[in-house]
Amino acid sequence: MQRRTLLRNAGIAAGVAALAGFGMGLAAGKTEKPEDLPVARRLPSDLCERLGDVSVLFPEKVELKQTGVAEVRCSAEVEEDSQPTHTRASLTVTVQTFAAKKGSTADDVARADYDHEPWQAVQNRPYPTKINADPQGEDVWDISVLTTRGDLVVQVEYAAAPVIRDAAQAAVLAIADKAAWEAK
Amino acid sequence: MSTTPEIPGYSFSEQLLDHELAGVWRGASVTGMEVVALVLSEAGAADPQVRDRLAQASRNAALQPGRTDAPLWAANLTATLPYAITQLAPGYSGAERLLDPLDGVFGNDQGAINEVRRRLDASAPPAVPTYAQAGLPTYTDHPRDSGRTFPAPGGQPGTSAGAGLPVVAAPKGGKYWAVMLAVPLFGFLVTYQIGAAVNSASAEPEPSSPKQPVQDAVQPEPLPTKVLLPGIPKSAPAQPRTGIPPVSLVGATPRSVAGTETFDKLGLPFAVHAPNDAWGQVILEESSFSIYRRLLDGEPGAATVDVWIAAHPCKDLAGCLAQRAEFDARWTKRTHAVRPATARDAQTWFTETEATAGTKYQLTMTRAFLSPSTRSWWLVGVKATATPGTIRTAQGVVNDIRTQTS
Repeated sequence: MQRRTLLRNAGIAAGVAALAGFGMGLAAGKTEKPEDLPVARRLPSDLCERLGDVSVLFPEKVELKQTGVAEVRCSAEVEEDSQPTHTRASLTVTVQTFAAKKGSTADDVARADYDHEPWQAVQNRPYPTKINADPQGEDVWDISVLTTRGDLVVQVEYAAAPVIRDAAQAAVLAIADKAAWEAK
Repeated sequence: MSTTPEIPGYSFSEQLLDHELAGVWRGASVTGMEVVALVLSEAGAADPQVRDRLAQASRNAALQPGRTDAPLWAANLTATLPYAITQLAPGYSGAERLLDPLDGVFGNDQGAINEVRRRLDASAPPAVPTYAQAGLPTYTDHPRDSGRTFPAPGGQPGTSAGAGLPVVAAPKGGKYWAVMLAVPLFGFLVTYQIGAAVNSASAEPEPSSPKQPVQDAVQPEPLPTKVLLPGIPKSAPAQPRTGIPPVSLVGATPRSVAGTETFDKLGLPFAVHAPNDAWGQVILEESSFSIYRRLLDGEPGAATVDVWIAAHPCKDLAGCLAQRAEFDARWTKRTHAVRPATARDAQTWFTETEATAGTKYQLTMTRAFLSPSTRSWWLVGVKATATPGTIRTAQGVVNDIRTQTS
């Protein structure tokens, strides 16, 4: 009797636990081991240096400072206060590689990140490219460019004055291409 | 072996003893209660004395059972084959004990009776503590209820399904809880893995753009040789000019600047006076052509007087006059102003536009002047808008700028 009661109670509890386990397992999915997780491609440690001299975008000579590993940021800025003329510029180049996710390749993930930005597409480019040009006054532009190639997404943000849009956009696109080339 | 007896309400599964006068059978009632039955053989039933002895023994078993005797449960002493039935209760003697008195010689069938009991014990479920063993009175202490404990269908805690006797439930110890934890946990882990595997197998890829081959890396173009335009040199703070006669472009002659707010750090080649300290400045941009500033008598959007100022450096007066058209085109476009068209003098042009249903009063001016502060020539553009009650204030600010650029 005692044994039958025990078996019956244990059976009921096991049934409930089994249902709960199946539901939770279905919701959570398999636990990935850290060593099994896909890892994004590492970028060169001297990526910003490889971009070359970008001083032409500034009123004086500058060097890009590199920060980050998985997402490398190259940045430089010249403030107007340091200049004898009303001139300023800042540049940030963000280079990021993406890892594959469950059901998606690294290229898919990078493309999804690129597609997320609702900017205007630029035609006749070697890689998919979007641009956002925001005038801040006469000869003052904030221009951002986003481009992707494979598992790579490059974003270049350039804010300068005085500058005309065409010159600023050409420079930003050239830097984006350079970053994609050096990070290939 | 005798033929299985047929007694309504009972079924028999095993013959425990085949005696010449009677057979002892193990069976169960329709309610599931296990019983022991003694059924007279044809020889026994044919002997009136045997029938009488069974009747007497059954009466005693029904009315005066011993403490370890299961009381008579059922009997039919007038049937073709008379029988007596007791409940099968571990530790209690049953109907088999009625065998001994049948032949009138007591004790001579003890071996057969013991054999029956051995066989019952061998097939009976493990002994469980009874109320008697637990120090509690047994049902057998109450003749009316003797043997009337019905078996609990499927077994109920605290009762014995096999014997129909109430028992004390065993305490739930460590073993019980170990099983109660281990079995569900095992079931949980197994089904969790199954669920996780189903999840992984049915995972849908993230939505993404259609598959496209990775473009070959393209050798980048070199950077342009020139990106920035030349900036306008910065001006030192312009001291407000004093001791000069006020000049009126339109409206009344400016009042004294005493008690007014002075803006001399606008980066412009002249200072500007505002009527009171409620006025504020907005540093706009500096293009490659002009410096833009703004003065208001309140927060942008809530101001009643709004003054936009543009300043463009020239090489000399001739240069200023040559660039005036371009300057006017640029600064009036930037500030959405009416281009100054009426010449006040050789270096000053203005336009006064009255307010309409959808526009404010607007006074614009372009002037070429030599700045004492920078010692260089400049073209200055001014647009002042005003609500109907603040027109003279706007005119006063423009007249002050005209005076400061004398």
